[in-house]
Amino acid sequence: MAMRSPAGSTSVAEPADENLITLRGLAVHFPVRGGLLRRQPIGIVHAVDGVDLDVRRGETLGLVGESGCGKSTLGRATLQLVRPTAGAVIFDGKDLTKLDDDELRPLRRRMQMVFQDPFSSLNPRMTVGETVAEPMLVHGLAANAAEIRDKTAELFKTVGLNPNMLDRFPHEFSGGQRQRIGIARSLAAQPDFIVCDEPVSALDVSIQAQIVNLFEALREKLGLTYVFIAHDLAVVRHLSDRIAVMYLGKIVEIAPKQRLYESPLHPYTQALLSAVPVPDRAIERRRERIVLQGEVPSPLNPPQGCRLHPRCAHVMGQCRTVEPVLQQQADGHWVACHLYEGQARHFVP
Amino acid sequence: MTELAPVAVVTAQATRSPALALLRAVARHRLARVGLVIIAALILIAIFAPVLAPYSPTQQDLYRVLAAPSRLHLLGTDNLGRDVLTRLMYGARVSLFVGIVSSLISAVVGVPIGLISGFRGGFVDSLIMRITDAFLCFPPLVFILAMSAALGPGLQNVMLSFALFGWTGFARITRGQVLQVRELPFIEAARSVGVPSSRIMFRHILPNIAAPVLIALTVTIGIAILVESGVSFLGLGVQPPTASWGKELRVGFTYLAVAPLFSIAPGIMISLAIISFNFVGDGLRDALDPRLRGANRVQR
Amino acid sequence: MADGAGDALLSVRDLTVEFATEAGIVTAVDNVSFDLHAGEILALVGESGCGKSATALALLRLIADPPGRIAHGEIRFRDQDLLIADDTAVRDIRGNRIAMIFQEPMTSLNPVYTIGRQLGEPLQLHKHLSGDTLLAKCLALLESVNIPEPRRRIDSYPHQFSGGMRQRMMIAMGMSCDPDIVIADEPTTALDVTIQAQLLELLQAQVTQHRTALLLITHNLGVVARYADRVNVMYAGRIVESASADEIYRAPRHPYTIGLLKSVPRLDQPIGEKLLPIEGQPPNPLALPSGCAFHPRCPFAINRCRAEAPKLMRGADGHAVACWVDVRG
Repeated sequence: MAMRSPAGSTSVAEPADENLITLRGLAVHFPVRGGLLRRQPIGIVHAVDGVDLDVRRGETLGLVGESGCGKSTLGRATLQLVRPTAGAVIFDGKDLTKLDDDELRPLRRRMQMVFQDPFSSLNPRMTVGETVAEPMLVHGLAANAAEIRDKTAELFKTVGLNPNMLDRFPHEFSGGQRQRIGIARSLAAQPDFIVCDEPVSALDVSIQAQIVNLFEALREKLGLTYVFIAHDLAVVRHLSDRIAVMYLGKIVEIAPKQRLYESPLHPYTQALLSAVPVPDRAIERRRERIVLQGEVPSPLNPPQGCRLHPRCAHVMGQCRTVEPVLQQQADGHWVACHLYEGQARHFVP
Repeated sequence: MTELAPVAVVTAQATRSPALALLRAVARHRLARVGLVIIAALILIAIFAPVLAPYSPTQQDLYRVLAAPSRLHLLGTDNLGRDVLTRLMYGARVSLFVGIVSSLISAVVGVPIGLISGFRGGFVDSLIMRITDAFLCFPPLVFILAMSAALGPGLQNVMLSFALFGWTGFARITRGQVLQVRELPFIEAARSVGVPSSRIMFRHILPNIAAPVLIALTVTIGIAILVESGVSFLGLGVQPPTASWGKELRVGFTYLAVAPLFSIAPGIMISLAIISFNFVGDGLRDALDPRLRGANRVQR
Repeated sequence: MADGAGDALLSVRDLTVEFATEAGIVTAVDNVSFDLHAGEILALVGESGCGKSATALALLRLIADPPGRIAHGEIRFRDQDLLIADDTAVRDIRGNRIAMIFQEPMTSLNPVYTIGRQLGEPLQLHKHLSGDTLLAKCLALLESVNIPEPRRRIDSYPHQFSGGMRQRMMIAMGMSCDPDIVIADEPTTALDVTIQAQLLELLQAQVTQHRTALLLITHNLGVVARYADRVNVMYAGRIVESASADEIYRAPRHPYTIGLLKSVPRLDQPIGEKLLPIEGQPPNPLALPSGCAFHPRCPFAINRCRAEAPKLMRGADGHAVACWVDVRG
């Protein structure tokens, strides 16, 4: 009987590994430099502080949390846009943290990112066609200019844009359209894996739905694996198979979608869900409101023991001193909370 | 496949190339228009001097030395009987040439250095910045004069001396701009796509910092003309019989009471050139002010 | 166009605000009329560019002129028309009788003055408090918004506060002179969801306690469902639907409201149900569609919609819609 790590794979590599990405002990620390010559670190921001995570092929993993929880940094660290301070990022069997920039470049083709801000994630001095075509150019995926143009036009159509607009500049498009361009760019190199960093947060409400639907359609059509980062639990619910909740650099709960929303276990997840209002009067009247007191602590100085303990309504003695680890409570449902310790059931594979 | 209707472009005025839009925007600025016209005129005069000038610049009329303006010599003659107007036109060739070329060399040297410095950061950046600081410790004109004296007289050495100092300004400006642009999301996006650093620097960062660099260029040209004038004025630049505005200004100074135009005319030309370049720089700066471009922004 | 329900504290009629841009005149607010009653929470809902923020700024005559201009309208507050009142009268009302809480706590506070000083400013100006009385009142205010260790915090600077705390301080400032009306312009958009919840609970408690009217401007339909009594939905500068919150969620009548409610992802939706987006793009304020601004995106559009812009018509039940089509039919 093996103690499974979050997401069902054992720590021994299986043949035909079902996990595309594996994170082990991932930590990203940013030194804050102070002092006269700004050389000595006066503090360390623990943006990501020891994360173990598996992402299965073909799944969409939602990653939620509020500002400062480290979800964006986690996404970037996975793609090596930010180099981790410690830990391993295993992509299809290879540890990315051990590769240098040149070795990494061919792998970059297979893992892409969609960015949050549609206004600044496109080069204002390049036509949108050039922006979308660049991945193909860089990785040598097309034989000549004509082929590039054709493929770019195809991509435009795939994301719902008129291919006649290839030669326009980003400022001529609206926010929703620019986000589609960003998505087209991420698809240009035919990746296996895409990290979506809050791709709809900066869009108007009525446009968000369009883009969310686009993501769903693309996933079905192209068989991609997504990590979808968001702070809006309602949006994530649509696209994700499993959802991981982060707080101050650590994953506090991870579960299949249905279970997380129906029976959230971690007090933070419960508060997070409670804080999201539902656009329905009748429902809102009946709902229980859980309001977390206090401020989010600074990642420079995370609390001892369980990081939520200063704000948690269910705080107990050991919460202040001992940091809880993720333990499986039900099939695929892991929580890091002392409330559930001793109830963890071990699964026979 | 989703059935998504092709989405229409929403924009009031779709301007295509940012370069053309920039030119239009600059031309809207009244003073810049004036500046552009004057510079164009000066350049034309310089190019066509042999055709436009009434005399040859070395032709001497020994009967009319230091003559007052007349029908024969519209601006009078200099101390060797040469036509001031002619020498002014030929002088334009030298002064403008030196001004523009010196600045271009400075830019061509300074901008890549600034790019690398800003992009790489770390040790390379610190090293380059300290070298730049070392150069900037010297008062500019002193430095250039010293260089000119060391290298010897002549046009090429003036340009070289200027570039040896001028690159620092461009390196600094470029580096500052790179530091800003480097953090923008689209640069990170390019990295995530796998674009190599060299391409990022020249294809992504450089076009986006071209604006302040261009403005710096126009201002530098003005300064270069002035510097050439100063250096030639002091005898270290062009040598006789070549005419340059600075040299004429200098030689004519001695005869200010007798034939004022000898000195004043080149002085006016220098001022005119510098002011014009500055106007164009102003126009560029206003045209590039992001707040003024608000009308083109499409709402979310 | 009175809303019924007794005497209105604030009465806005045909308010129109224009902005001059390089490319032409934009009518940000187009003949907007509504009432606000004491103690009620009225939500002004819409997406970016619909004119809700401009409406709020116009109420306190905070529209920058140029490039903006209040073209015409009437804003009646306590027997005064704020649009024709003189500057002294308006200044007397700002912060005192009508307070405003802005969206960006980062930039709405002056970074070089302490929290205490900024908090005390309206009290000094309007209530002429000073010295110990002023200090005591400021401390009490900080406590009322749950800012811990008020004695220490009162001498802090804004950058030493977190976003949530700054916004709470803005609430304290807003409530300090016991205003009749508080206008909150997207007060929680820049904040995390759990902090947002804290803040809105606090705001709701404050306005209930003091029987203050609250004009809540937001694009978040969930927040509206949780807190608002009545709702005005705005699109392209106009109010397209106006009704009680219960009604808007139970039986929305304007196609835009319906579309919006259907396109917003919700926690209670059955998993696997698709989102139904509103097709098309938000309108370009410089080139608004003819007739009803929503018609290009409207699944119910008829010919008349293209030709004529419908007026806001109130039914007997108090529910007002600006639409030629009766979607109930």
